[in-house]
Amino acid sequence: MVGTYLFKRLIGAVVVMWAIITITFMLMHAIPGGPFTEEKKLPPQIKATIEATYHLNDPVWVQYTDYMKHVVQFDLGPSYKYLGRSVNDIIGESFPVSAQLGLGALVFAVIGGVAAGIGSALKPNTWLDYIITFGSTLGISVPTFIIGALLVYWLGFVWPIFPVALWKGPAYMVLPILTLGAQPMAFIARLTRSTMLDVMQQEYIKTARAKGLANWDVIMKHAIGNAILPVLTYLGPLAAALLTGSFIVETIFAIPGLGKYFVTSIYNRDYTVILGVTIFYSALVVGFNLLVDLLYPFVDPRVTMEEEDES
Amino acid sequence: MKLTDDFLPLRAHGTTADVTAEVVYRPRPNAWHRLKENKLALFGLFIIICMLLLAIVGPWLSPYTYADQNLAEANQAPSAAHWFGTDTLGRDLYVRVVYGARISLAVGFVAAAINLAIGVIYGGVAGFFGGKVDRLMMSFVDILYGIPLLLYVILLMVVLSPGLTSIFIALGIAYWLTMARIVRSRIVTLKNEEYVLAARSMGVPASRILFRHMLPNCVGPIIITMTLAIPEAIFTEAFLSFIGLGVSAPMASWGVLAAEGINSIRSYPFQLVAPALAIAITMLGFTFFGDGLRNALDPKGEVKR
Amino acid sequence: MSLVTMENLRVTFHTFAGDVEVVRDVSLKLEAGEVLGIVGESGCGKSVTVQALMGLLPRDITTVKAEALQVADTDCKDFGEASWRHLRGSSVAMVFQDPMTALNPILSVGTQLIESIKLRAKRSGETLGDVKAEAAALLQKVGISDPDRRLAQYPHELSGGMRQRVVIAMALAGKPRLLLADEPTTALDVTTEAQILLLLKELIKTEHMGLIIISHNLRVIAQMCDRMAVMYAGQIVEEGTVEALLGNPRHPYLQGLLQSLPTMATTKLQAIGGQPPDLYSLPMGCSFHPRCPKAMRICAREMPRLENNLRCWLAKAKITPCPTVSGELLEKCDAYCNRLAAANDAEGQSVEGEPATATAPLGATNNTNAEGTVKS
Repeated sequence: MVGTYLFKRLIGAVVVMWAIITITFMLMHAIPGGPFTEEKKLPPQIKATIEATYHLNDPVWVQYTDYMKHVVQFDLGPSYKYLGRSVNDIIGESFPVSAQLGLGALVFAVIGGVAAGIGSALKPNTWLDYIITFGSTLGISVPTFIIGALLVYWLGFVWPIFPVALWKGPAYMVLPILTLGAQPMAFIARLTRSTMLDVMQQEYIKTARAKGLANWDVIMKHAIGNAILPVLTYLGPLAAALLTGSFIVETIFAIPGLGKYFVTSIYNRDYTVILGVTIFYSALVVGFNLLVDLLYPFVDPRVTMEEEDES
Repeated sequence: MKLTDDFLPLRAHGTTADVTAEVVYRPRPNAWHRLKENKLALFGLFIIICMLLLAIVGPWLSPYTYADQNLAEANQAPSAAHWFGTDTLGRDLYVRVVYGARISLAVGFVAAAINLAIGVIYGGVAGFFGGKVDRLMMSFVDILYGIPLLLYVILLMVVLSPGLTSIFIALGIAYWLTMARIVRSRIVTLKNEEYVLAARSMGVPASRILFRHMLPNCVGPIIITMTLAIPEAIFTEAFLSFIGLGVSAPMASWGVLAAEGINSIRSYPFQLVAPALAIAITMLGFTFFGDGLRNALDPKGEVKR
Repeated sequence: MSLVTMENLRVTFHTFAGDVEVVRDVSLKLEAGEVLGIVGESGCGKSVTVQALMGLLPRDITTVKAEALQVADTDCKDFGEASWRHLRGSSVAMVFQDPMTALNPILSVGTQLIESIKLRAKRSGETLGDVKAEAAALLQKVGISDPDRRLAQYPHELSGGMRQRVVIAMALAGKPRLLLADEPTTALDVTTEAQILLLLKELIKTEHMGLIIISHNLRVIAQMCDRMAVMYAGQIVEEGTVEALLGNPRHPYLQGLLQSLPTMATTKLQAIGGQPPDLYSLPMGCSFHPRCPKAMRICAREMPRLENNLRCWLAKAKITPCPTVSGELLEKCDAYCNRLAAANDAEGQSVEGEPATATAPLGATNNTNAEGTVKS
């Protein structure tokens, strides 16, 4: 049963990836005049050479099948702008930095958010609750780049505690991780708070208290497990949010990660890089979602890996 | 004990009619009442209305326009002449911020309206017809949900020529999923309500049932989703502006202004203040209002006995 | 000493809409081995009363006051959370209404059962034997077959009746002296209901516990209880042995409840008219008077006291109201009204020398007009 489920989910993920690649490819080829129109009047023969090199004169479906063939072999093609470098090279070089930043922010957001949410739900309508509620409401209301700018200004310039650019060691990670994690953390805190308040109203919490369990045990053994379930389902969207957030954070802090590369290639209209990185990122998010879905039944026994029956 | 009038029947025997006429009950609080009670929600609504008013009349209150450059007055701090100061090209920041309000708010409302139209029709149709149609339509939504959509908004913006219309299109066609899901699940619930079954058994045409009986009952969840969709769109536009895919100069949204402010944060930090505050305050307004609305339309906090 | 002594319990909820008193002057007594039933409509305060016996009401939004509160030989009047906690599970245990929600969905049956067993062992200082075997034995006791397999299962994998048995087993794990059951069978179907009630009855006998059972179902009460109390709008309106109350109901509310029970002979269902009162704005006088078919003028003005286990002005009325709950009630009431008016007239004349018409019923709500009363 579990095997069938796994297989079905994998097939599903493959279909999604195929759709993603196709849509991305079609979008890129919908650009009027092709990727090189913006170049300042290239001599015709050079243009022809370039087009021949990149097979731009082939019929679209030939280009599509070519591209597909390469993508299946995890080859995302060459960069148009950086001659001699492939998209794979760029990802290989810069992604590890982004991964560190992303993982750091993920851990920060989840742990901080869950702790804050539970803390404020356990002491509703106290100063702690008000501070956390206000902070998290503010957190989801301020765009990431403004949070980043404020941190840079206060902790980088006014009190120069942390470096505000580049990625050379732990001290360099503090501000970017705070910036990237702030908004998700605020969101998770709000989510956890409202779920926790709801859970504390549930009958099984009353049952646990009626057993004579100490408050602490009721919370640790019965409440938290149920309260973080929505946070787990949020992990997928969270991955996507961190990813796009990294474009901004890496730009502000001049971090040589994939996000910064992506933004630069948007400025440069480096189409193969845009295409390749989009596919890479999508695969990452789809894979992450798949992982969360596969792990979820271990946390919530009501969700099984078997076929959902129609109801 | 002495018998007095006290022991005469209060009413004609056996009746309990007219109860309400004798006893005055306090009316139970309804949604609007609860919303009115919620000061924070009203405050949020007040902020939103203020921002809308500012966006409409704000630009007329200043002698400058958003495109007027005056390099002699570049990078001036806030003063009587330039309330929020000037930017690197000597443009008045007050006018640019209130003009940016027009663009940012327009993006929010128009994108949300497009989401609304697509989402309600899509979700309504899926939920109403059910069965295979529903399963097919919803698994398509599920697939899209698994994709980081902001990447595709970026791609669309790269493909389309940058500008306000492109932003409307890109945001509108990317973010209708939540609306579709919410409308669909509401419709599925409503389908089993007695009045819908009754209407159906009387032979009321399907379209009429959907539009007259079901959709009006989805208004609550739809409004709540809208209060989330509008700030989401404003956020996304700010994000796009920041990575250089927003409206084209000299037009400026809050996102563009904030991005410009960040570039000069070291030397002229005040240039960031006004656009950053404008975004944050508006977002807070939507958050307060949305939270209050959710509590009012979907009350959970009533004490159980 | 009684197992439960509760005198004049008052519970106030502090809600956004203002303070609301949901339990008013409720007194209860229960001996070991005895079964007490509490009946009443939803929202009448029966659950709150029982939860007050375990200190389970949320402290931040409720105020609980009582002149005396003793549970299992312990004076709990001024108990704080910690003291209550020691009482819970070991002296008092509770079976909740909905077994679907009373068990933690993400923990296995065994985990939740063993948790109770360990808690008891920790408190009493006994050395733990094989907890798993004990858990299995408990499940067996509540009539669950194949207990070892059940222990590994999760709540959603069990049927409603099975889950309620697990909840009961969990309550028994602490070896309590008092069991509280809040509508233990409302969420179950009729056959399962009978099984669970039978199980509870047996357990009371074998474990020699006291049981307070809440229900809005008079049949459940009749089947299970020795004594019963009827609650309306946060007050006890009548109390006594089950035989007395069901055989000779005195309060119009209880009469109404009994009348609304369908029997094989029933051709037309009788319901109590009107709505349960809004606790935020209770009517003046007796809370039941707006719905009471026998309401008198004083009922709309003054709250009757609980005397002789009955809270009703009719007890003070000179002429006993129609005692039956049969279909002839209406005619008899008619006669009663006339007799009462006549008696009233006579008294008025003899004492105050007023003309008869002056004390005749007034107002549009009364259709026994002056002429009629004078005639009789």
